[in-house]
Amino acid sequence: MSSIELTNLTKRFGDLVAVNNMDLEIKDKEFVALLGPSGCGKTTTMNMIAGIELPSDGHVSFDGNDITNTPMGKRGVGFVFQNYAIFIHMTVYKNLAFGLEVSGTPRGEIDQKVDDMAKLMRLTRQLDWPAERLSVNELQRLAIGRSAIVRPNIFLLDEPLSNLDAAFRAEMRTELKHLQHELEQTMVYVTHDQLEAMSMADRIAIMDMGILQQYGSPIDVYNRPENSFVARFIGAPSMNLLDGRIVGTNGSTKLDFGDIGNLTPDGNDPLAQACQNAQNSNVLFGVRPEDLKIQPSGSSDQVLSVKVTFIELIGPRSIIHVEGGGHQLKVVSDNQETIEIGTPVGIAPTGRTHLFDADSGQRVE
Amino acid sequence: MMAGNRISFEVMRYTFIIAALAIFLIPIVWMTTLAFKPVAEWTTAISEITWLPKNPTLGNFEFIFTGQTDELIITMPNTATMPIIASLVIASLGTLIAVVVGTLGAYGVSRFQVGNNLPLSVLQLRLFPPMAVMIPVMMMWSYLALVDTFWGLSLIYGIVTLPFSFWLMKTFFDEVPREIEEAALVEGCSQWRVFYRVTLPMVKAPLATTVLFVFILNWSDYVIALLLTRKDWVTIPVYMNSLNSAMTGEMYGSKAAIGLIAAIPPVVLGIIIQKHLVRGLTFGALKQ
Repeated sequence: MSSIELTNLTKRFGDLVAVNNMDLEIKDKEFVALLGPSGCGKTTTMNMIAGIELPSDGHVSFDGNDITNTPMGKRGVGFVFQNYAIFIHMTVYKNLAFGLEVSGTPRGEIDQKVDDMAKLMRLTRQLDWPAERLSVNELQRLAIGRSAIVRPNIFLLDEPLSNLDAAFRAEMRTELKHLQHELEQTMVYVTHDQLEAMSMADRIAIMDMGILQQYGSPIDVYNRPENSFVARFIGAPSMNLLDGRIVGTNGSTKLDFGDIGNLTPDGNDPLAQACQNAQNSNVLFGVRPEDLKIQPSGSSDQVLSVKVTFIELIGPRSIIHVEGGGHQLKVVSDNQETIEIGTPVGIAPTGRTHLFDADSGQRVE
Repeated sequence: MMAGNRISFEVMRYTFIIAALAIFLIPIVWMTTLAFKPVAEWTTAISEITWLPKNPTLGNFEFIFTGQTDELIITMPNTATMPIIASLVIASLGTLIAVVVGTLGAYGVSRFQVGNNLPLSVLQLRLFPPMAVMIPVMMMWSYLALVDTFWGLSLIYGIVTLPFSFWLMKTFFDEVPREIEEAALVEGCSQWRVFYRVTLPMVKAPLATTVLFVFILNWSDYVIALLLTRKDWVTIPVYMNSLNSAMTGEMYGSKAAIGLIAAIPPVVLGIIIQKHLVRGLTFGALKQ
């Protein structure tokens, strides 16, 4: 059993507030990703959970016990550093055995556990090598193995895959998830890569400027972003956010985008309700590039008129960049029809759309 | 054609290396040959330069270790045995003091942000030549009955070379990534154990360099030893200076003999830790 609870957690470095009044609750055996851009406070949050940094305010609890002032060595957490922090003056074996030796485990048991972990991490052949001879990929596995071997109830990983090449990163994503199931640990994973967070985590905590923006399942944060930051940060290519204004005419409301046209939401569309609630205000209209479709120019009144400016090929699909009336948008197309740069086209939303307040950035429903 | 160029380049390269070596090694070769020359070959009694001893002799060594030799009519009351022991003991102890205190101090300053201006105050010890404060030090040492004792001289050596060991080690500790230590601390390691199991082994090579550097400084000191020793704990450089007499003037042969002996410990120490010196700093655990 190892749940983690952060209450009003705040960390200040002089004038800089790295983490601001953060509340987060992580369940036992849950895999939570702390996601955000560089400098958003995710690593600081992680360091406070591990005890490497002490919070300026607030509390950290494990299983309901306040451990805010417990020294890091007594918290029973495993920590994998972004830069691995391998003891290069020791052999691979010594690195793996380190935590067990510190806790005074009998020699025979250490040998057994090191062998098992080496097998799991595919380091058996390298056991007697000095750690400095390992490749980056092997260092990575060693760093994870060294922390995992003591079977900590809570496993913290700080961007462990950021130095790896793309192919190995994909492989490690699967393996980490697998490892977490096997070791039955509570895992907290810091990353700035939304794909890593989306593919591995049970829940994602998205942070920006020291503030927790949204906490929910990957599907949740993807389908229902709480604010425009989350909307922009989750998903690749990122969500289109258009400046618009909601105007009411003859009992119906429409979203006015200036020169490129306007949209009148269908009565059954949740967007219609949202528009009703935000009458006569400036909004950000969000729609994912996958949820837009290119149509012939002027084909219906639900079409925004734009011009194609650039086409990016991404395998079987392409990202069509379009522009009009000062707005720039991306549309994902399945390459069914040929489109040329410079052609005037129409675009229409075909799937889920989102509405955010233009000033606060908060979701409007 | 290409091969020809290559060969002429190699020939030039080696010619240059040998020429440079010859220039650097002349003083050492001269001292070595001098140590084995009989008195007639290093006094002005003969008006020619002899490069290699014509009549090689161990007389110079005999003289400094026994106080007399058949070749010289004078005798020496003080032999070289005690100064050699004194130099070994004092330089080693001084090095030990400077390196242990410097390393621990540097670790504290580097890791725990303690000491505020301490690093600069330590450096201040080197801002003026030791001679500038040696008279007050002489008075203090004499008051504390430390003059002409091995611990008295070791202590001042430790103090005078402390800035070197402190600053060198501080620079090296600063380069050891904090995460390495945090990784060990998270595993439940005590801070002290982190220091000697993780950090210290990582700076083994720089530590060896520091030891050699400080030892050579202590080993070759003349002025401080001259002021703080009388007869019991006279060190090699001071003893060397005493090798003259009214009758023969400067006894260059004997000086060369003790000089040759004095060159041995730094060379041996250098060879022992050469592996570390060459290896230098490799903090490859981190992908920067």
